Amino acid sequence: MIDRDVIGYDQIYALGPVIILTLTVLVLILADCIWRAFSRHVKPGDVEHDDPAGMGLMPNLVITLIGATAAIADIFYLLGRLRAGGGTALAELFIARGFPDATGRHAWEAGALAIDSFGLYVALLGCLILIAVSLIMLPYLQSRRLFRAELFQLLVLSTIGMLLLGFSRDLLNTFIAIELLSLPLYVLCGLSDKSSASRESSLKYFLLGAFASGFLIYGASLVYGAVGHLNYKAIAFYLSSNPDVSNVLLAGLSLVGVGIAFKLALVPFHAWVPDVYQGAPTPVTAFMASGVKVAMFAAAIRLVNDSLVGLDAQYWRDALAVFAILSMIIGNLFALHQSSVKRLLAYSAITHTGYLAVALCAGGPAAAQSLLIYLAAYCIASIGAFMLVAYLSRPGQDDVYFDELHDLSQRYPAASAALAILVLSMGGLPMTAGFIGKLLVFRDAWAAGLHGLVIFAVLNSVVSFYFYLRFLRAMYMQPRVPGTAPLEAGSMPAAYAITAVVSVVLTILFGVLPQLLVEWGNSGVMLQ
Amino acid sequence: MLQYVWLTIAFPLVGALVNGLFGQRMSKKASGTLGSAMVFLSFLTALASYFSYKSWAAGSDSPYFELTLWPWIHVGQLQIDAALLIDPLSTTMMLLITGVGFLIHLYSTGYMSHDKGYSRFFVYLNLFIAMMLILVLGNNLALMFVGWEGVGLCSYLLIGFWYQDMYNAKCGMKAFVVNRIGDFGVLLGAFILFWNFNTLSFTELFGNFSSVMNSATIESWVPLAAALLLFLGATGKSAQLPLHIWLPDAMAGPTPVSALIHAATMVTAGVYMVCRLNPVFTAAPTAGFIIACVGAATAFIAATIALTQNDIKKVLAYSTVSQLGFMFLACGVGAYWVAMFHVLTHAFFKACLFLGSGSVIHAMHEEQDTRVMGGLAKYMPLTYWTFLISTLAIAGIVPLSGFFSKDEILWRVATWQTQFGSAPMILWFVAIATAFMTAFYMGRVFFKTFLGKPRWTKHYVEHHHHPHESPRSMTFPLVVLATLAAIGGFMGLPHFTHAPNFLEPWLAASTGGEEQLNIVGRIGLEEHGSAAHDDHGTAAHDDHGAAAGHAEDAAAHHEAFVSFGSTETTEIIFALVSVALAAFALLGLAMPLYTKRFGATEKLHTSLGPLYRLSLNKWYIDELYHYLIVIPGTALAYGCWRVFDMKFIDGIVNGVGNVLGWLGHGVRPFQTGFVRNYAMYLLLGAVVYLALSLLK
Repeated sequence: MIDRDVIGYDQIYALGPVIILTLTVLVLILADCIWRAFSRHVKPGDVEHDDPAGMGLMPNLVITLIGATAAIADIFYLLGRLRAGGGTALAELFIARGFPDATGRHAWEAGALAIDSFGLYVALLGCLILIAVSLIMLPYLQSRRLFRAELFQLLVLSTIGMLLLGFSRDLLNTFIAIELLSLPLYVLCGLSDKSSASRESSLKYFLLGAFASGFLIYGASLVYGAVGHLNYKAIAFYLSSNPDVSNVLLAGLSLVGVGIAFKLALVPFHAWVPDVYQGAPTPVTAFMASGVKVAMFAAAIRLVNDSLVGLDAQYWRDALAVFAILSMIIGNLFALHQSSVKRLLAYSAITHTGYLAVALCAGGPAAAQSLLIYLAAYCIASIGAFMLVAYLSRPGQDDVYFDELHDLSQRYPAASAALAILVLSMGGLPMTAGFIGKLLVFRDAWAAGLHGLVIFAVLNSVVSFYFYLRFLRAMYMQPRVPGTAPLEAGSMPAAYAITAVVSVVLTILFGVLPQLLVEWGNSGVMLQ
Repeated sequence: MLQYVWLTIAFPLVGALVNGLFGQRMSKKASGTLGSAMVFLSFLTALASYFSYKSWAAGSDSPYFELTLWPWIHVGQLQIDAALLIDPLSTTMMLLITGVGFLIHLYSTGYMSHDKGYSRFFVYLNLFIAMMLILVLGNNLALMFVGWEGVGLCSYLLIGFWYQDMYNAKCGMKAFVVNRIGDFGVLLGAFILFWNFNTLSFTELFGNFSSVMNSATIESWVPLAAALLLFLGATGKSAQLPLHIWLPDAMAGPTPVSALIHAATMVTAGVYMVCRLNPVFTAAPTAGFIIACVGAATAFIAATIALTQNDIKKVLAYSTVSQLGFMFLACGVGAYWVAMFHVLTHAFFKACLFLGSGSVIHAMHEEQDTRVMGGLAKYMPLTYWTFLISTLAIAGIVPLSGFFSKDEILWRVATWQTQFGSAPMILWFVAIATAFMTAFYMGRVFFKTFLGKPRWTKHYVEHHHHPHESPRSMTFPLVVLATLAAIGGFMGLPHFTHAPNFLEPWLAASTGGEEQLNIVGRIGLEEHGSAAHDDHGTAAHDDHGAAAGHAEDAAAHHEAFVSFGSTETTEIIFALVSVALAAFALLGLAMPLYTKRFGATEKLHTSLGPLYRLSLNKWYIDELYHYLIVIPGTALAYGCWRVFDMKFIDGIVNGVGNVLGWLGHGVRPFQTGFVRNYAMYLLLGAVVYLALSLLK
């Protein structure tokens, strides 16, 4: 047993991925300084003039990819050590303890960060998402002539927030990690400073995000007032030892829930999603739809499994179930008539949040693993789909409308086929990865006795096929609308092509051989 | 070497893939060479497998070599592997498929040389070979079914190969739909076997069969139901009554397809399945009786239809149906190796006949009507001679291959030990009558095509053409196949010759092996001896005796025949009778009628009016299906569509869609775009959340 009080080598080892990514940020900043110091050009505009292909972005991309790859290597190393050790967690950091009882045993003992295999898998997903988004960022920026070198730093910083959220078991840590995740994103949303939609989305996201953070931190302070601690285990212990739950604690937990639900985009905390997703530069949207979702669900399932276990389920499950139902209905209804692909995908993301919230309602270790699987499948489809939107959209527009998709299969057969497969996976068609995720999540919820909720979710996923099939109808069956100019996307840049092929291949591979994905997810065991 | 037997499947699959992906960009020569070469490689692998199997089997107790490639479906009790089974039966089929398949590929390079869909043709043909090999090599019913459906698909694609013509496309559909009925039977049969024996693997099934049957937990209807359902599948695939109707129409496909798929290989899949699952069929004597009856009836009816058809390919098609009937007759009486023997010889002569007819059609510029042929012998000598040899073979003239296999079937029918009274005698009479008709109609088509006066002169003089012999790529396969058709019979010489019989002991390992004896053992070992020695004529055996009769090995069989009288003499007399009948039909009836006295048959047509029309119109079976099934089925489907689907189902679907669509529009105003509204939703949500938690 490691000495839990001292931060030793083992703990620092365990934080390896976070440290590597932090170093990456530092290197990126340094590289940027060096570039600016030694370059003749000071202003980005000059760079644009001298470097029309935007090759000056390459060093930043390469550093980011190296950092992310190193982090992934470290994650695999840590997973190997974890497996060799035989336990569920590699290390716990910042240990806190409850008061000792008469025999001197502590009532509870837990770290604020748990480096367990669940957290490591979340970190793995985060790093893979970082790689994918950085890759599609390059051609996007090149085609938009947006040579903003700082965005790679921001992306990596946000990823660090994701990693910490996956490990965090303490409300304060969670809050800080959420802020670390969000603040770079506020900037990234406004990246495209020529576009008013981008600036608008940045401001909206920031204002509402700040509002929601207020709820979260206020809730946390109420919890602290009631429990005297912010550690999840402390909350769980308090709940189990005090049968009459104080209203202060309930209110605190509810407000924390509001803060998290905002980031998850559960209805009615979702209203920012369509506007922000549509306005933000498309690769950033892909990052929000995948990375933020993974991190926030990881945080949510930790909160549920670690602290709410002691609470009578009705206090939190009913409210969550109401929000899940609302998310599925509202997401589906809004998605039905969208003319913009990005907005449609945004509403579809809300619907998916609803399905995932069903798994949250179920709770427990199995649900955590199913969530990982569902999220992996969803991220693959979502990044791929947004990437295709980025590829197909006109430079000045940053969105694709269904009118423009008509007859696309004739001109871009490969892109059309890829988009079709990915949206069908989102819908959950069998033989695609999305189906496996849905199946597992619904199975867990059914096993937890949430029969009504599962039936409702399945019905909703049937309805959702209506708008997913709109893609196929537009691309394969409808003739071009007279008067609309055809999309001129040109040939696909290599970075896009790689992402497209990888996402389609993985979607089908996991759909046909689900055990690959299921075994991966099932080894993501959460420290209890 | 046996570990690499999967290469036989892989080669044609690669050929299909390469031709499918790049065939359009390759020259015709390249794509034809690739297709043929892949099958040739497959044939070489099959040969190598044969020899290594022989050396393996010499040192092994079991005749079954299993090769598990990878685990396929493992769900609960259901454990299915992608596994191959190498035994004499599958090796024989593998050699036949790849050998004849290669010859027909070669032939196709010449026959299809002017076709636009050249590379597409080889894609389908290679795919067919691969699927057929999966069918015969699969070690479980599931994998066999994959091949079963795969060959069905290829058959459909190739029948409708010239799909621009609606008639061809419809023929393809007909074949596909009729086969569905049979496939349904195969599936149900497989389910019954799995349900009772908990396995779909052949080797496990055979391994457990006797012990499970002995344990008597299996009810008596189980083997009967399984056997009959599987046989339903065989009637579909192998064109037996009442599902034979698709095969004559399948002649719409190119002639090499008719030779390969609809004569030599695919249609024998049903026979293969019965032989493969022979323990199941042996355990259900009633099923054997039904199979024998269906086989005999099919053979007879198809032969009567072939008597009057004018299209050269139609005659051959009905002849194929008829010959398949013979094979099932052999299966029904439990002579599985004889059925396989006939599969082999039939593959040789019928493939040769079809390819010969293709050569004729090629020379006659797509003319298939024998009424406007005649006198072709001197223009196309090679086709003429090979066609002659094959005609004599199918007619059963000594010493060509057809004689030996057909005669063995007749003999086994006549000496069948069964509880079904005088069934053997009746079946034998039906079979000998069929054999007589076979000789006649084959003689008819042969003489009408090659001898007599040319009846095509006018047509050709107008076009300044005269028929010419086909290119070497087409005649070479003809010569090889004719040679095989001539000498193939020596693989299984009858007992009275006292010459070594190669085929029977070889195939006995698969089709008449220990397993059956074990079952016999359960059913009544004590009765075995006495029952088998009972006088055949009394024919009052019980179940057990009949089953025993099926399962005897060669020696016991021979012994049993002693009771029939002086066996060898009888057998020789039987053989002489059938040869004499065949020779009479050929030389005494068909030759004068269709060469010197051409046109004399017109009088026969009028004097035998109703019978002639019955035969010409194929016993009106197609019409029967049309009025009994197609018209009511179409009416039902139309009714379902107009009333149930359009009104009821569409009503519900559209209703739900409309409501949702209306709701979708209804919620739009809430997405205002104003941050203040969004913040208000957030606040309201928080209030609801708090209320829900605190009011509990």
